[in-house]
Amino acid sequence: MAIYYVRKDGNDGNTGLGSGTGQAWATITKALGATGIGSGDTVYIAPGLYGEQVTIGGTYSATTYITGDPTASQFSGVTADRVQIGAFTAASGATTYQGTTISGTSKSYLYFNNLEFVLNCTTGSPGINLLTGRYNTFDKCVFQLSVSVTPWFMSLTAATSTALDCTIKKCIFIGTTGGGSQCVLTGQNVVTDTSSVTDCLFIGQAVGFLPINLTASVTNCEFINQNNQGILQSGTQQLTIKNNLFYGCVVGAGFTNSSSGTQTNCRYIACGTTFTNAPTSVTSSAVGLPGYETGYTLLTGMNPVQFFGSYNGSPNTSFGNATGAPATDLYGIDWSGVSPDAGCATFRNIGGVGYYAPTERNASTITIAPASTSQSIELYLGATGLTFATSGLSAYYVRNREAPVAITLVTQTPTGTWASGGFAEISSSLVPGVYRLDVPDAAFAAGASDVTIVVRGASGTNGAVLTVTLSSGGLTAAQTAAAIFNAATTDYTANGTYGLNLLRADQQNKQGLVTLHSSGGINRVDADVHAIQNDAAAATYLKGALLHDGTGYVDADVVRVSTSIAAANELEGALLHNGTDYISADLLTPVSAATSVHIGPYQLLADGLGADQPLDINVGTATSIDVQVTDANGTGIDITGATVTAKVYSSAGTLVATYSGTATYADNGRLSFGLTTTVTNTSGTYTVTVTRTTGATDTQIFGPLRLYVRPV
Amino acid sequence: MNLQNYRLEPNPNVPGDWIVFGDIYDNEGNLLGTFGSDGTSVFGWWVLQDAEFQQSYSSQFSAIMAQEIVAGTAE
Repeated sequence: MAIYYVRKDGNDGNTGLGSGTGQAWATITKALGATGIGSGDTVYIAPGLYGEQVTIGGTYSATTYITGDPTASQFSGVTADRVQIGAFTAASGATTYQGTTISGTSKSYLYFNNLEFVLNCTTGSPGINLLTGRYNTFDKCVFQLSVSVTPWFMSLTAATSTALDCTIKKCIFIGTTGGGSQCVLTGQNVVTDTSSVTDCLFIGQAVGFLPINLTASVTNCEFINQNNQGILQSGTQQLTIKNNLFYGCVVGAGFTNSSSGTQTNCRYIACGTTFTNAPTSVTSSAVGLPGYETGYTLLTGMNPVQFFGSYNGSPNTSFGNATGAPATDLYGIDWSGVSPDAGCATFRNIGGVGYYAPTERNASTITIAPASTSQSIELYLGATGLTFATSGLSAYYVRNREAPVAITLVTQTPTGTWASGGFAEISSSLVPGVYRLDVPDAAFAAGASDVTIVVRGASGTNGAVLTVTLSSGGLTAAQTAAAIFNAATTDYTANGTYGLNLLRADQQNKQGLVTLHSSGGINRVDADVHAIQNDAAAATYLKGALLHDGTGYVDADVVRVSTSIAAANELEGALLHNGTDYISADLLTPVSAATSVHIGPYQLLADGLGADQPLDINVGTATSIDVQVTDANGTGIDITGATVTAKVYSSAGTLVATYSGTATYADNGRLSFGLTTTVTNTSGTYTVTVTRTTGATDTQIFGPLRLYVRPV
Repeated sequence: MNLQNYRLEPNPNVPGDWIVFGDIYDNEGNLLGTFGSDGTSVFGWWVLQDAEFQQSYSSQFSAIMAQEIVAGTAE
């Protein structure tokens, strides 16, 4: 999809691929000829009057743009002006021919835009004559005549049995008193044809729009003073007209018959005959004011309103229907009302409308820090092939309020080491017209606010002007933040810099506050972790973690923490102890809510009762107590060789007395101890436990057994 | 005003003449008149108009005649 350029001072011997005089073509004939642009390409046409008769010679299968550039935004050294094509070579001269300006056979996908056609055509030789083409478009074009003849401004004709599928939009046709038609679209009776005419203004010819054997639509168009018909249908294919304004036409719209189309939301004002054979419409009207601006606001000093557009309060405002209508008017302005207007232009105050004059592309501004050295800049000169030795080429720099200083140009390459005055063409094919210049260091010495650099004088270029602002600042807060926080930490690790002390994460997006402490000879790291990563890998890092203060500790070997049963099973057999007392827990099946708690499976039975019934002792009694230690099933525990001790606790949990036990039937866990008045002198409720100790560490506790000391 | 059932046909009896057919309505849809069941001959209608009307339209017509003569498309 190449881009080509045409300018009046170009040359058809050029490549056309650049916009400078040394690259651009000179004629549209060349651009649209057999050796011109290809399918899908774009050609920009610089301002000027192109008095040519063009025969299109290319073949196009994708949209191909022929684009006028009246603002000269694509061209250097060209003043913004009209892009005119037609039968003139001088604005005040005679026409150079009568006949077709642009012709082509079987040319499709052409998209003409931003062009002004100044025609001297006749009925047999339409100004635009595209035969057997399809998918062609005219957008934002103006058509006008040089003499009063009987012309067809534009004739697009479909190939046999093929749809025309053309688009005419935002175009203006200015006619004369002669006969003929302004826009003639000839179909081949294809019912699916999508041809359309929208947002167009037709003024003063015999017929504005003439569809022949064509299925087409005409929406938001305006027909002024047509000598015969604003729209004249030929053939019986469906013609849909909507939101149109007809003023002062001999006949507004002429249909073949009342079933050959539809008309809705149209206004017919001051027409000799509103329409002929037209389908009925309850949404159309033939009464009221024309409603378009004629210059009254300018005459009287009011806020000026767009010519031929609705004025404020116009009956055309919102008269149309939005379904299928364009979103904007002829000038690309949103409709002023809730619905589209009738006609092509909506109400718009144009008092504040300016014009666009693009900045000369080879005059620009950049910023360089003061006292920078070995600086190279790129300049657009337009022409290709310039060297440091090109005749007439000269360069200067001007520090503000100082005299120009010549830059002595020397040879350079696009990528070479900086050399004061070095000058090189960067690439005549990839970036034609762009050059590198190595600016002398003195130009950027501190002390001036800006420096202007000028390169000029060679044939084929208008030169280039570049102003360099000498500033170290200028970054916005966002740019400053981005420069700091988006910097790669790995680039800033030099000794003695803050970068060296940066905490670096091995992954992105980790938040955390880490404080380093060193106080009282103790060094530590306090970490405020905001997020714990919920994955197995994170848990793995806890495996073998050890938290301790030198004596007490928790030694955890957590393989994985999760909400699963499997995780709970890891706790089976866990033991919490302080060296003497302990709780042995054997959690086989974790439950969500505890129903009971068992502290040990061992029972202490009062001997002879066979059950853990309480003992009743009278106060002051000293007696031997026989008990049995059993497991949870009531089976006696062997205490042979073990040390057994009975401990009596008050109801407040205070150890009152400790008694050595004597085995009476060791194999079956039976023993006795002597209960003394240390306990029984005080009536109350006590509990008794028996400790069985074998060796240094094998200790079991049985009980408790309730003991009542009752007053006599 | 609008025309329905409008058509033009060459006058088979007078070369160069045309016959206009159609019904003439106002913009409210009221039938105002017709060109007659046999249509109205342009030539026949023209000569019945008064001289002032004929002069006015001949003046307009002469400009078109001049263009066609200059363009070589008319005698």
